[in-house]
Amino acid sequence: MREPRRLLESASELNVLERRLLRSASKIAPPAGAKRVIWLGIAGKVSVAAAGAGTATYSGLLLTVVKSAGVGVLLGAASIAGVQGLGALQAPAAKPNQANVRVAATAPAPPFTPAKVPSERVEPALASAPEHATTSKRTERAALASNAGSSFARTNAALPAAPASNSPSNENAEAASASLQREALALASARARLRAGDAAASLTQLNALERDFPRGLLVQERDALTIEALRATGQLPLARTRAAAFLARFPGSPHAESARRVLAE
Amino acid sequence: MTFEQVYEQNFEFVWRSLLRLGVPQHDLDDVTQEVFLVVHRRLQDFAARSKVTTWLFTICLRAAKDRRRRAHTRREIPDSDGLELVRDEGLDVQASLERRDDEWLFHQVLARMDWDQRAVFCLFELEGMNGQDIAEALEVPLGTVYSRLRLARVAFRRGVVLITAQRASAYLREEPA
Repeated sequence: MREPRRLLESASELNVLERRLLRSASKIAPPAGAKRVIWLGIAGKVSVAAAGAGTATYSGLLLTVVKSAGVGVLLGAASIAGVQGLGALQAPAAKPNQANVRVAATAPAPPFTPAKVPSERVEPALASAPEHATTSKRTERAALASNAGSSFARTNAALPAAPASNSPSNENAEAASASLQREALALASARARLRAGDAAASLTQLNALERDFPRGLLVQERDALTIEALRATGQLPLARTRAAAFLARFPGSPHAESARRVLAE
Repeated sequence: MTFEQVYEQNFEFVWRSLLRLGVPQHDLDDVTQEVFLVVHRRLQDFAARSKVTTWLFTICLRAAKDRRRRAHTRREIPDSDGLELVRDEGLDVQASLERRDDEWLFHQVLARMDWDQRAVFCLFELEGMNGQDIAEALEVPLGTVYSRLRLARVAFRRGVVLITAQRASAYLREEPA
């Protein structure tokens, strides 16, 4: 079986936005400090587990306890995280003491030997503060304007991204992309109507969508929304029938859970 | 290979894999820790019949599935905005916002993808793993990997259009005439 080419290696398979998203996703990295914090957490847990539940009350004397239990650890970062307490991790401010106490290995697991806290890659990192949920309108607009694939944000007409060349395969891809964008816009509009409380109008639009795009790519989203609209217009038996059909066709869909909820009503 | 070496060389891979498998950011540290605790317990049994990353991904898969099951049992409500990804990129605010936006969009798209397809897509397209290794990690035939990849690519394109259309639609509603 021949291995397909990766999308990012293929010049013509992605539009500008798809390429940008994939590139950004491939560069994602953990937040600064995460590697060290997690390492210390692991060290703490391994030390505690190794010390055994039968030992004296866990205390700041972990070093002594572990030594006397004869656990096979080279106590460096492990002892520090352990002494900090059970799972109460703090971001280490300084490199932990690398000292230390080597004792005979008796634990079945591989010896936990943190000779040093693993180094952090100095890279742009993810931090914990959520900002997308509250992205300002200006940011949202800037983002939309910068997305080559969202030209319809400005024109309301579904325009595909500029082609790299006029080859037949590009033209086909362009047509498919334009069709998909029309389908997506119609679906977004039906969703907006449903959210605005006009379930009947939404349902009409969804039926039209089904007629216009019988083999549409957004069939899962369309069906899920149709089920919701049917339910909202009081057609629960029909909603259930559609939900059962949906589950049979797309059991692993992200919308499967909401279909199951309708069935359970 | 010592545990420390495995951690040193693969921490980011595990972290990224869990993120892409849908582990929410607030649980990522814990689940990453769980994965490495399993690695620590089982490293002796790892006979290097497969690549370390393949083995690690198998553990990530189980950990992410467990986490999903626990969330389901707790009836946790998924965050509708998906992942909260923020990079600290110094002074280039515009570039930072754009990157942040791209990451957020990508994870919104990923969140809509079928779980099995998502795993194949990320391993193949983002981690550069080959089909055979993915088949091993997921314990499925190679043909299934390629078939999931094909479907995942369609889902990716569909998701990108859908998400951007939703945002565009919201934008147009808010924009004064």
